[in-house]
Amino acid sequence: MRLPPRFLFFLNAAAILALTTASASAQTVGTNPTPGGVLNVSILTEPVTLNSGIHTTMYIGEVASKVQEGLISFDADLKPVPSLATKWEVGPDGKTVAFDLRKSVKWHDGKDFTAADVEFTLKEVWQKIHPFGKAAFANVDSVEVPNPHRIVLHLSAPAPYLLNYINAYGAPVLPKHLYEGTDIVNNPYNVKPIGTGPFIFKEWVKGSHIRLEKNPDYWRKGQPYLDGILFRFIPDAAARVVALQSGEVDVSVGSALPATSLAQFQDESRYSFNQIDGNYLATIAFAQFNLNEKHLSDKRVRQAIAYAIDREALLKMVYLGYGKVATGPVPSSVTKYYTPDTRQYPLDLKRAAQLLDEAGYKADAGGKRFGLRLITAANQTQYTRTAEFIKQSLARIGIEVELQIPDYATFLRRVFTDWDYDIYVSSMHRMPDPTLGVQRIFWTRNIRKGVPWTNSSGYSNPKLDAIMEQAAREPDETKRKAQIKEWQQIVQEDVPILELVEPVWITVSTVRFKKLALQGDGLFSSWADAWLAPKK
Amino acid sequence: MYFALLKEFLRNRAAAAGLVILVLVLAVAALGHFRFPGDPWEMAAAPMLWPGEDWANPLGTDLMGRDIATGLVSGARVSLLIGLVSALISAIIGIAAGALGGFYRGWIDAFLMRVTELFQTVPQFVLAVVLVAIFKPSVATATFAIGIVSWPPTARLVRSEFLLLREREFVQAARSLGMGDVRLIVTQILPNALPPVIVVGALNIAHAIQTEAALSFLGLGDPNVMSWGTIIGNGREQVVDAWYICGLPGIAIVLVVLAFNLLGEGLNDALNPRLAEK
Repeated sequence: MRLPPRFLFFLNAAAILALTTASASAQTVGTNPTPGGVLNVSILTEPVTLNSGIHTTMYIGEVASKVQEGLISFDADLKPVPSLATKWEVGPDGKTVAFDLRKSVKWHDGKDFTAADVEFTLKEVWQKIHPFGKAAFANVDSVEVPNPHRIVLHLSAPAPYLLNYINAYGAPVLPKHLYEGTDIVNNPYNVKPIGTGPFIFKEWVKGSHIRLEKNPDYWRKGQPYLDGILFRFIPDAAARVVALQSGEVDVSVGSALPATSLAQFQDESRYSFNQIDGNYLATIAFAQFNLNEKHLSDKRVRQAIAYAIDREALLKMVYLGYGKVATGPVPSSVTKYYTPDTRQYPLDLKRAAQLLDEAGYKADAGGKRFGLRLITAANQTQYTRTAEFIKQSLARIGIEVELQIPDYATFLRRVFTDWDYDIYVSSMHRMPDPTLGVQRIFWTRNIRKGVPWTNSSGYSNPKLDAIMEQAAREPDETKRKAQIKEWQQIVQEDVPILELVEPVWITVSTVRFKKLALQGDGLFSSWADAWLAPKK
Repeated sequence: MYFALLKEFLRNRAAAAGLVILVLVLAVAALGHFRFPGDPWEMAAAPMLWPGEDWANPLGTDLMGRDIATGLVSGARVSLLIGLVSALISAIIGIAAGALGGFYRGWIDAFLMRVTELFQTVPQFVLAVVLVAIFKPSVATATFAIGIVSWPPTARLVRSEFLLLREREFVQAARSLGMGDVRLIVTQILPNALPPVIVVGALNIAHAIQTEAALSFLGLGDPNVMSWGTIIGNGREQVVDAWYICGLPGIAIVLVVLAFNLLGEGLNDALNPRLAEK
């Protein structure tokens, strides 16, 4: 790729843009809430159900979190703050966790919320059905309910990550009286949820909208400020852009607007940007190698590919600077465990060529070495563009990439069931704790054909397995940090997965949209403290 | 005879204009890469440069800094190739089905026409989408799919011509001289049935180019080949900030489709004896 000086100017401009918009996140915070008004919201894709307890797709959580609540919530720095639980304490040996529950909280149908609801949801939903709850609550042996407003979990081994998963998205509490004895996955209340949250579910018109109304008996007195929320489903990206500009929509959450359109929302007197809402998800976009492929089974080939991809340029070109270059499997937002002190692969074509030569794949007269297939799903343009970028990058070291861009279902089948791919491009939420969010993609025991978002590279390293398993039950924080650091160093050396970019989830709203405080899990905020300032 | 045809054809100004546009597009497809060499996928400059903003990229760049002029040249080749080959496929199938049905009539005709109806009742574009989605999206499958869905009108047309012509005196004469079925079909009837088929063929090319663009627009094009539809599909999100990314290939498609339509009509006028007598 030849880059003219103009281009460098462009890169700087993009970097400055990213910086200024990051500071503008705070613009959403306001004081003196004005009650009243209905908030119009657009999200990327219409959810398939409205119960985050059984399905972790983020679009479901974005809507359901206004109705369902978790025991805790997170502040802007991802520290736990009270929600349905007022207080919690972890026993000195790390093997008990006790929660004091809020009193006089009522479900939307008028029944009292008690510890029995939490016990039921934990045993029947989080432990049995929830996709990562299964792992998160695996160590919970027994539950004790000394009184209706206290619940104590007894663990078989310490689970230091547990408190990171009990917000409205990771572990919403369901009403026992409506779910007990039913087929939970097919319970009718999954699409007309009854929760304890600030908004009551009113109607869902498929293909059009979901309407929520203010809960007048909400336990936070005086909240919510809004009279209601209307989630509108606009399938076309360009139409979502126009809807926010025309005022038809007030808030666009979860990067519902394409990065390439964000330049139209730079006027700070009219729009607010929020880039921390998705910090909780800690997403990394990556390219994964299929280690069963002849060439890719060689570590040197994988490292050569890593050296050939200029991730700075990728970030600027495809993500327009909205994000960071990823340096390893643990995202930088997980500050407790993140380390940049791992093997890095800056752009170095000579080094890449040398590694390929060493691996025995010399270039032929035309400069070509071998071909690979790169697959990604057609539904998200940033991944198809990333794939195009990688194809161009690898051509320069003589690897000819054939792009395959099928629909989402075919993509999932080929990558996770058939393993019929050489490289795939997508992203995964790494979540606040590596044991649950990161281990799943490297762990030998998680090589499970047919289960999406598991270890489908076929990478298996007994030494790493031992470290990860140790870290999962290590009560000592210092030791655990050291273990997770070594883990990051091992996978950056072996590169079964090439971590590319940490994209940010961007919320764009009219400046009239305000909240009392920002949240690191803002995508799943209850919006009890949100309001629409009056028009000027 | 051919000279007279050409004269007749060129007397029609619209048809002449169509021919001129077509020759230009062919020239771009054949020679364009001398002026705009290189890989159309190469991210060669800053993204979203407007046309004329930098003369190194006279028609600007797309969202990922790919030169649009290079993309248009590549797209011209892809579009013409797919248009011509798929129109040829549809002509071959259509002529074969129509000729056999019209010549033999009876159960062969009934069977072939039921098959034709089967294809006609399914919306063409939907069928093309399904075919491309079942097979892997590539230039070959797109060409094949477009050819497969667009033959029924040709078959109908050829059949009706054959039904008329097979009763004519010259055919009866050839038959009474002992000519076999194959020779009758190929040397006697088909040449006389061809003129309207050529007209439909020209229109089929135009339609095939549009269909390919629509498929690429929906992301069902060959992800390794830059076609006009691919450029439009990639630039779609940006239609407000950078309309030229969609606009330029859009204009190219309009021009080529218009050219083939004018050509088709011109041929129709030139080949149709009833119109010529006027």
